[in-house]
Amino acid sequence: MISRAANYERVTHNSLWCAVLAVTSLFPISGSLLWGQQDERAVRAAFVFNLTKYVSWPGAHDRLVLGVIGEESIGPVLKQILDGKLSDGRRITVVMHPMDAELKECDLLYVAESAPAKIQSILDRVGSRAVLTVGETDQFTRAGGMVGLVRSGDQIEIEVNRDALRIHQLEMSSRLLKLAVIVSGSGGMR
Amino acid sequence: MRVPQFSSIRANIITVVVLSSSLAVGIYTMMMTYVNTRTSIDLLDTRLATLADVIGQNSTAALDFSDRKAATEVLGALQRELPIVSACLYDSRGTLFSEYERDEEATPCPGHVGTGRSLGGEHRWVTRNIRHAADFVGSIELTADVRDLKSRNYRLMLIAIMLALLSLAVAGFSGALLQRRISKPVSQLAAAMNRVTADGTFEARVSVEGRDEIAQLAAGFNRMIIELEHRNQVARNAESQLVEQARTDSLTGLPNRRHLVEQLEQELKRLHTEKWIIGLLYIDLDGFKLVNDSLGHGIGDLLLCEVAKRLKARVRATDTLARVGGDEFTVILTGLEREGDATVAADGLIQCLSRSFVIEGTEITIGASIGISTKRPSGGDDPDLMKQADSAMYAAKRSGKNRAVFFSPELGLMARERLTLERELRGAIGRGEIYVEYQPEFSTTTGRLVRFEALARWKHPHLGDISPARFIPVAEESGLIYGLGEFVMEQACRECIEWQRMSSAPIQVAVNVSALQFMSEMFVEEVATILQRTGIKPELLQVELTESVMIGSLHHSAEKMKKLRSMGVTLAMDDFGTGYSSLGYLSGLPFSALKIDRVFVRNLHSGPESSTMLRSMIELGKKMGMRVIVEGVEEESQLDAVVEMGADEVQGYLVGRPSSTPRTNFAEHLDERRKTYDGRLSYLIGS
Repeated sequence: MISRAANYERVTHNSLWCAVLAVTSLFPISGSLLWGQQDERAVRAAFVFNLTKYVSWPGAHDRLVLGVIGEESIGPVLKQILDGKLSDGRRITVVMHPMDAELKECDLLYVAESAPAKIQSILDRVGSRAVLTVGETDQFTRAGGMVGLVRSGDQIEIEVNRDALRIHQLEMSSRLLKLAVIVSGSGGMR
Repeated sequence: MRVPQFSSIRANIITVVVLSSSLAVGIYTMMMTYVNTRTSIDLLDTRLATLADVIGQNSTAALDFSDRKAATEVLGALQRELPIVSACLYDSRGTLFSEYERDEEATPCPGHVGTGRSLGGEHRWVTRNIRHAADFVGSIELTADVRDLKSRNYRLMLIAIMLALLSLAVAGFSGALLQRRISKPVSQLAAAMNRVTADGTFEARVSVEGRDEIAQLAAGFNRMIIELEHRNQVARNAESQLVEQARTDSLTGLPNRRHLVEQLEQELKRLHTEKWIIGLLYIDLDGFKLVNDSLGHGIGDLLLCEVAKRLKARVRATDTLARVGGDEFTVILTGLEREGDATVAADGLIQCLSRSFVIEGTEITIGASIGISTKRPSGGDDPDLMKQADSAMYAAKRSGKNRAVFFSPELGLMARERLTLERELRGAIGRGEIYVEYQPEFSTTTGRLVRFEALARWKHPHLGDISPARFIPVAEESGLIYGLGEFVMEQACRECIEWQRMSSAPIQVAVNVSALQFMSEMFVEEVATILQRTGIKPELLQVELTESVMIGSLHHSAEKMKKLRSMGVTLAMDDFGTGYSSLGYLSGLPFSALKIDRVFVRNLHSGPESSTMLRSMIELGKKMGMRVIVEGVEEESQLDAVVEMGADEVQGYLVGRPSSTPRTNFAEHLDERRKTYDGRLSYLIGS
């Protein structure tokens, strides 16, 4: 995958500051968030929101259930910013730490874990359902996760595992694919 | 005239064709350019909007995920769109996110959307909002310049101008073709018209094929020419008929004077090559005026026709016979060997006319006087043959008529003299230059003076005494004879009355009357008027006529003479023996006296034949019951002879010369008391 390096490079020169600006413009309520750690989380929330617009799920949906798993403090931020928002006509519901039953209802699962074992376990729980899995580390996509919002200096890179998307019957807009670093790896599914 | 008209038509046609086509091409080009510009700008605007939408959509991910590099890459795709000068991508807050500029000249994007910048009229721009999944993600502004558009329009205009020039060339060429099609037949028509008018020929025809108006015009022209030719032929026929009429005498059908003059000119020209002599006979009928006056113009015209017929039958086919005046005919004789041939021909003509004519039952006798002139080939200057023949003809008239006279230079003089005399004679009576002399006539039996003969005399102040032999013919030809005759007769009658007062025995007066005068319708009436006016007894007047009264209608003359006789007037035949002298009709005319011409007395001494002739004439007259008067007795021997022959009366220088004062000169003869007998006569009688 020679093209991957080029794609990667392209994304890295996005500035985090600009992303923050974009997010704050999108969501005036984020103005009440704290700076520093909270800024990155807000950007991640904005990225997640935007992701939902570039991915299409099989079947018709009038709501979009967003599950959050992990110990990180991102969960409340996502809940605060995204819960109840409309993404392309679908109401977003944020579910914190979903149980197995709840996990079945999720359309998007944000995995705030960095330990590969845990990640693998979570992905296994998802199984082959059409759930867009979003992680935070570069191991995530290689483990079979679909989208990685990976911190690189002051920037967040988007990594995409197209095989995983295909396996879970999800389609991602080519416009987003152009920005992303394409990686392969199926993890536990292999 | 023709050529400019031709070129004018050609120029007009080409000008119209070129002008109209260039106007059409010009309007078309302007419209096309305008429409094209409008369409191009509209297209550009539409394209700009579309491009903005496409670029915007392609930029959503970059905006959503704050990927400037990707945005720049997307905008960079506009490099292939040459008209795009700049593209400005703004985020959802309106802040400049990414930009693209074609080159250094492009105006940089403002930092925030909606911030004005000066772009000039050469640019079109569009601003579009970018939405993704119902969310506003930013906006894009595209700016394009119209330079490319303009250059394309310039190219289009250039092509249009080239097309215009091409179509002008085509129009000019087709105009020339059209011109050739139209103006060539027209110029042919013009040339044909020119031939007709310039040469007067009607052979010009135009051949134009086709069925258009020009061909119809040409066909019409040809028909017109044919019609003109036809009419021209008709007109020429009529003209030649008129010319023929103008050259012909309508009464006799002979050529007229005009024709004769032309013919004569031709013959004189021919004389330059031919070696013969040509002769001209000028014929004037003697006594025709008498016929006309006494029998009327109808008879006169018929007589002329008969004369023409006889002359025509007599002349050769090569000769030209023409009627040149009332009773004047002319003959051109060609191919003569000698001048004498002309005289022979003239004598022949006189002979053929001497036989009497019978017109409507009336026997008419006329004569002809002919003047002859001739021209030899080497004759030098052309003499006026007509004038010469005319002079000769007058000479023939004067020398006794009914004869032919050859022209001689002296006759020319005579002709001039005649004209002078006529002019002078016209006022002679009024000026008192005409007077009367009286010559006595004596009875041979009684010796008494029985009569005076009145003789007209003319004493001209410059020319002196002019003899009656000269001026009487002039008076007759000019018609002055009527006035002259009347004057003399009246004078004589008045004088005669005076004689009666002096003489116990009646003394007659003898008056000569010209044939012309006698033939006048008014003659008898005039005599009666004079008798009445002067109061003279008719028995005292003796009218003396010459044999020329027998010309024309004898019957008519006889009737008139009988009327005079019934009035009491005595009639005597004058100059007996010199004229036509046909004894045949002497008996039919009521003459009471016969005057024997002096020539017979004069010839008495020449021999016994003359004596016998005179004696026979005296006896003839006496046997016909007429008094016989002998004129010209100038010697005693003559007097003795004629007395012995039985003449009743004598006249002559021997017994008495003419006198203008007879009452003085012959007083002793008039006065009965002074002398009863003339001594000399008594002596003769006595012996």
